[in-house]
Order: sequence, then C-alpha cells, then structure tokens
Amino acid sequence: MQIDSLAFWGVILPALTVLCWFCPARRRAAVLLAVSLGLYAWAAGWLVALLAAGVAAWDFLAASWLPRLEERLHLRRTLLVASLVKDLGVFSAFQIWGELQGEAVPLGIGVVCLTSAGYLLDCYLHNTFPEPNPVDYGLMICFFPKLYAGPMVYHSRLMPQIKGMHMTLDHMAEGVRYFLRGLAKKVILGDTLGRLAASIYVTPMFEMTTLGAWMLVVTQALTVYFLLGGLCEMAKGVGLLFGLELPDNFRYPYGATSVNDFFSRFNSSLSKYLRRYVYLYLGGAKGGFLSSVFNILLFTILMGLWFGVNVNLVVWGVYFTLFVLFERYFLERYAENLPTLFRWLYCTAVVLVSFAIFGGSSLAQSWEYLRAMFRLSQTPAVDSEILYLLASNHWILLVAILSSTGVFHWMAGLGKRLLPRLWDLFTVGFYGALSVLTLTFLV
Amino acid sequence: MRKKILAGLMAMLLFAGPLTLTITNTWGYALRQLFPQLVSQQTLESQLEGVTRLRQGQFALNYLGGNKEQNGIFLGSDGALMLDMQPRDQETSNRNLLGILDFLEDHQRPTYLMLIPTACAIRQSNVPYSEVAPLYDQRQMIDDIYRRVSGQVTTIDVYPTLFRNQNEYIYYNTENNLTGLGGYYVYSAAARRLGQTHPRGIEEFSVRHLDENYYGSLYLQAPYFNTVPDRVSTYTFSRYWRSYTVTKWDTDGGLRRYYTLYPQERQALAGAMGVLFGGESPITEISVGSGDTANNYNQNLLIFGDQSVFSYLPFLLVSYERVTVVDTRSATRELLSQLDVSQYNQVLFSYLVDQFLNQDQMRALSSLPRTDVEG
Repeated sequence: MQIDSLAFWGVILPALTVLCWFCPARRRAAVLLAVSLGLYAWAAGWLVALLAAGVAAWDFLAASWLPRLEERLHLRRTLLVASLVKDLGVFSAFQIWGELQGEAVPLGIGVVCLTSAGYLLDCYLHNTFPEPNPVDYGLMICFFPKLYAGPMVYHSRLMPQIKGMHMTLDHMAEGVRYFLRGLAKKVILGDTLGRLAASIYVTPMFEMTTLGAWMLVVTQALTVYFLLGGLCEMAKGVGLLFGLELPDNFRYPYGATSVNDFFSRFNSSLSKYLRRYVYLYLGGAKGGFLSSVFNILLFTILMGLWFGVNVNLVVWGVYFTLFVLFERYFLERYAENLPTLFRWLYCTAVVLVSFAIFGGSSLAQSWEYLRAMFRLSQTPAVDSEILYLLASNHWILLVAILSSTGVFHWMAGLGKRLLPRLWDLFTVGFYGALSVLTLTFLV
Repeated sequence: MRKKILAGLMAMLLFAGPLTLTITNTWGYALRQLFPQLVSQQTLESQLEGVTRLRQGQFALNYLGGNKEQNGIFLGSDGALMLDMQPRDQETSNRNLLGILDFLEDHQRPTYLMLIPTACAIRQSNVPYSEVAPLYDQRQMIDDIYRRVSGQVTTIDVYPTLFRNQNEYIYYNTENNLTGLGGYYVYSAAARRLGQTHPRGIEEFSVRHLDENYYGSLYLQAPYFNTVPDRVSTYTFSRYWRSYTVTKWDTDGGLRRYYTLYPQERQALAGAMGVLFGGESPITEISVGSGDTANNYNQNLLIFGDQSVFSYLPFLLVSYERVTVVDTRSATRELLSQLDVSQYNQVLFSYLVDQFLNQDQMRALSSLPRTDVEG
C-alpha cells in the first residue's frame, strides 16, 4: 500500500477523511494513528512497523523519565546517550545493510528514528515537555504520509495541532491542492524522469557522450526533487486534511542563487534538523575557522548520508562544504553586486556537478561522468541514442526545469494578482483536471 | 461566501478519484491493490475498456511531452502503432536456428525458412524521430540468419517486396501483424520459391471487410488517442471453386471443425480476428477440395509459425491439398507427438522477426515423431 497508489487516492484517503470528519475531535488522533500504523504495516511489513513502534515507544518512555532524573545528571545523560545510540544505531544499521544488500532502507525507519531522537533531545534540553499522551505522541512519530520522505517535525510545533485536530473546509481545500500537486509531481514528472534517468544510466561508460552525461545529471537532479518533493507535498496535503500543518520540505531548490540558499530549499526540514541538533549544538560558526569548517563539513556530510551510506555521498557533502566556505568567506562580500542571473547560473552549475557525484555508483564512475561532461575524455559530444531520448522528452524536461525553479509558481502569483476572481475558478478547474490526469497514471 | 464555495469545490476534489473510478467502471483495479484475492481476473478483464480509456490520458500527456514511444510501441506519423523490435539476447535466435537444422536432420523434408520484417523496419520513415531512433537492423539480421542456413534450408526473402509496397496498407495499425494485403505480397514473394510456377494475382481473390473499426493488442498496450483503427478483411479465392475443412486443435485438447476458412459465428465470441481461420490455436489443419485440375493439388504443406501465417495462408492454400499450421508459441508436446511429418511434401518455418529473435519457438519440436530416414 503506497501513498501514490490508486487504492490510496481512490479509496483510503476519501474514506479516512469522511471517517475523521464525523469522528469526535478528541478521537481523531487515535483513529488516525490506528490507520497510520495499519498502512505502515501494510506498506513496510509487520516486523518493520513493530521495530519502528518499539524505537518510538522507548523514546517516549525515556522522555517521560527525564523529569524524574533532574537531580541525577549522570543518569539523565546516560539515558539520553543510550537512546540516541539506539536511534542512530538502528537507522545506520539499516542503511549499511541496505548498501551491502543493494536494497532500500525499510520505509519510515529514518524518519521515525530521527524524529523520536529529536523529540528526546528537545525534552533533555528543556525545549519542550515530555508528551503524556502516547496516542498523540505516536501520531507525531508515525503519521503515515510523512514516513516516506519527511518532513521532519518537532514536538513543540506539531503537538498543539494534534491536540486540536481542527478539520475545516479551508484546510481541506488547501490539503487537496497540496496532495494533488504532490501526486502529480511524483507520478507524472518524478516517475517519468526517473525512467529517463535510468535509461541513460545503463549506458556503458565508453558510449557515454557529453550531452548524455549532462542529461543524466539533470534528470537525476530533477528526479530526486520531484520524487521526494512530491511525497513531501502529498504528506503536507494529507496532514492539512486532518488539520495538521506539516512544514514545507522542498521549495524550488533549483531556483536557489547560492549553495546556502539551496540547502534552505532542498530537504529543508532535514537541513533545519541538522542545524538545530548538530550544527548549533556544536557551536555553529561561533568558534574559530577550523571549528566552523568542521561543523559545516559534518553538517553537509550528514545531509548526504541521509540518502545512503557510501563514499560518493560523503564526497558529495565534502564538495558542498567547499562551496559553503567559498560563499561565506569570499562570495558573500560581492554577492549584492552580482546579477541574480549570474548567481543562479553559478549555483545551478555547482548543484548539477554535485549530482554527478551523488548519482554515481562509485567515485570512479562519477569521475568519468565529470570527464564526459567537461569533454576531458575522448567521448563524442552527441550520438543518435541520446538525441532520440532528448527528442522524446524535451517538453517534459522543459516543464520539469521550469517547475523546479519556481517559474510556474511565480506565474501563478502573477495571475492571482492580476485576475483574482477568475484565478480562483481557474484553480478549481486546473486541480480538477489534474486529479483525473494523475489517476490515469495510476491505473 | 464565494471563498467558502470555492473552498468547498476544492475540497470536493478529494472525491474526484472515486468519482472517476465509478464513471469509468474501474473499481476493480483500485480494489485489487487492497484485496487481490477478492478481485478476479475476469473482473479486471471486464473493466479493461474503462482502464484503456483512462490510460489514454497518460499516453496523451506523454505524447504531448514529445514521447512517441511508450511501452515499446511507436505511434507513427500516420497514426499506426509499431512495435519497437529490439532483441533481448542472441541465444534465443541461435536456439531457434539450431532447432530448424535439427528438424532438417531428423526429418529430411524440403525445408524453407521465411523471416518477415516487422512494420518498424519496412515503414521506417513513419517511425517518430526516425533520423535518430535506435532501430534494430532487421535487414542485417535476416541476411545473417539466411547466410548461416544457406545450402541446407531454402530461404525466402520477402523484405524487398514489402519495402517496395510500404506505402500500402500491409501492416495492421494496431496489431503486430501483416494485413491480408501484406500477406498477399508475402505470398507473391514466397510462391515461386515454394515451387509454384503460376502465383495467383490478387484480382483472383474476393475481399470482404469484417470490421472497419478494429483495435488490436498493440492498442491495449499503448492506447494513443490518435491511433487509426484497423480494417480486418478476408480474402477468398474466387476464380475456381474450392471447399475447405478447417480442423483446429486447442490447448485444452478440444477440437473444432469448420467448413469455411472464415466462420462468421466466431466474430461475436472472439472479434474480427477470431474469424480468420477460426482464430489462433496450436494446430490448424486445412484440407482443400478443388474443382480446378489445371494445377497439381496433391501437395501437402506443413508450416511452423506465428500469428503472421494467417495473413498469407488464404493465398498459399490455392496450390495445396492440405496445409497444417503449427503455432509453435502454443503447441504442446502432446499435440506435436501426433503429427506425422513424413506426410508433408514441404515444411515452412515462417516467423515475424521479433518472434524469431525473442521467443523460444522450437522447444517442443523434439517431441515430433522421428521419420526413419533411409540411408
């Protein structure tokens, strides 16, 4: 049972919404938690769901004991460390296992482990209070739609909403918009671009052309955005249906004009999470130059390791560290004088090159991609196969690029300002057509 | 108030999914993802039309995005669907070739091989982005295969004839198969190689159209909205009187018999294609009664082939007393064990290139009873 399946869109979501609508507000959390756990077990298997529930339950109990250990700091710290080791250990173990077996990490493990670890840290640091209600806590951790790709949530932000769970027409309307947009991003653009990237990826290196290498990094970058961004928007949309406002996670990252800006738009909830619990906790930029470099390096490497445990992702993080430092200590002085287009081109080039590292199965393969991209090897510029792929997908690539940079969002804002009444009607019609169109991709 | 109404309309879109499923009668596909055991294959098949209509939207959007090859099927510039023929490996065609040579060694009958190129080879100019489309070189492949059997098996090259007539309606738009007209051109190229001194002209056959709005198997896989439907036609030799007895052995062991090449009652059951020689079955035997003594009609032909056989069979039948067609895709060892190859004067192996390259056609031939070859 996947969130982007025909059964979820056509049966489960409407039925669940109607059920919760007619359910007393104080029972909605329990209903939603029960359905979330059921869907989680269906999608990932009972064992994984039980493990995730066990991880979350341990942290719930550990957080509830923390106030009793205020006087016993050593024990308090030991409890925290043990819980964090458990959370990060489970997550890391599955990532290493996945890397060795060539399989994906089981659904939701990363989100559950990091969310509950963050909650426990917040309780330890007195940023929030231990949640007394296990149902509300369980929903915060295991809300089904966000288990795929986040976003990462905090107790202080989400719990007041769970306590209330006000289902209103406005929220539902906005939720439907987010869900449909996310679903369309995922199934129409993300899956299509994913297949295109896969068809280029299998090209043997000796046949890779310059255009092929560039198309590969572009399609991989777009695929990651539309798949993960689509899932996060769907999660936000489903949350809104039930009165829960989850944070945005991907906000037109390829419209960024600096690497720092890119990280504030790409998987931003994870970026904020690492900033909050790792970067700032270690001192951020307050220490000396070396301390700052170390903190930035750790931050970017952890951003990469979220996607998997391999050398390429570590190097991806290191690569970005260089540019973060370059911007902080050099470029920022001149940024205001540089045209926005130039800054965008610089950032886009940096990000696209990073995907040559991100997308390679080994450093050697990534290096070959880079050599092909910059004509450093004896590869031809184009061949008929890549031209055929480009010809067959030129419009979808164009739409994807414009969408990922926020051009359509800007146009929508313009339309809303110029023709507000007509725009509202157009929006309803547009999303109506989109709902049927996405269904055609699901059958 | 207006905002509330608009918000309400937007919220109602939550039910667009179930509404669309209801209108298109495709609930089975959604429910099957929830309860696979409770939704039968028959239910899915009964809802296939609705699903095909829905999937048209997907194909239309991808097509507008520039993608004119989906699910391995091109939409040609003339609205015809063409299978993108790509070999999966080399071993399958090698096995098929060795199977033919083994057959020749075991049965010592005059053996012929005819490989028929598919539409995307003959009508390359209609393939989208034909200048850069990575089409498999079927001409080269046919030449290679024929070179390997040269001297042992008589080969029949139909490529030039089909290529010369590529602008005519020789391939179905929605099936991976030749039309009756395409079958005639194949016959015209094959007849002399099979020893027929006077191949018949097409004017000696009467044409009847069974269906002018037929959508075949390629359309089910790739329902492009602007696909041109097919016309399914039958060709009957009309110059001289002929009687036909068509006996069909089915996979379940059943036997059907018709006294016409085109039993019309099959159209209601199996569509227009089901009328052609009673539809596909593992073994079809046709006995021909003739009133014309001008030619020698005591020849028996055994054909091992695929769906393309029925396209040219109406024309070949003119010159034979008996023709047996073995569909090697579905023929079982039990059925083949009852076939006596020695009764046939000629044996023809006839396949579309994609069937020969990608499907194991000869696996059951070893169960044919061996002929005692006199030394």
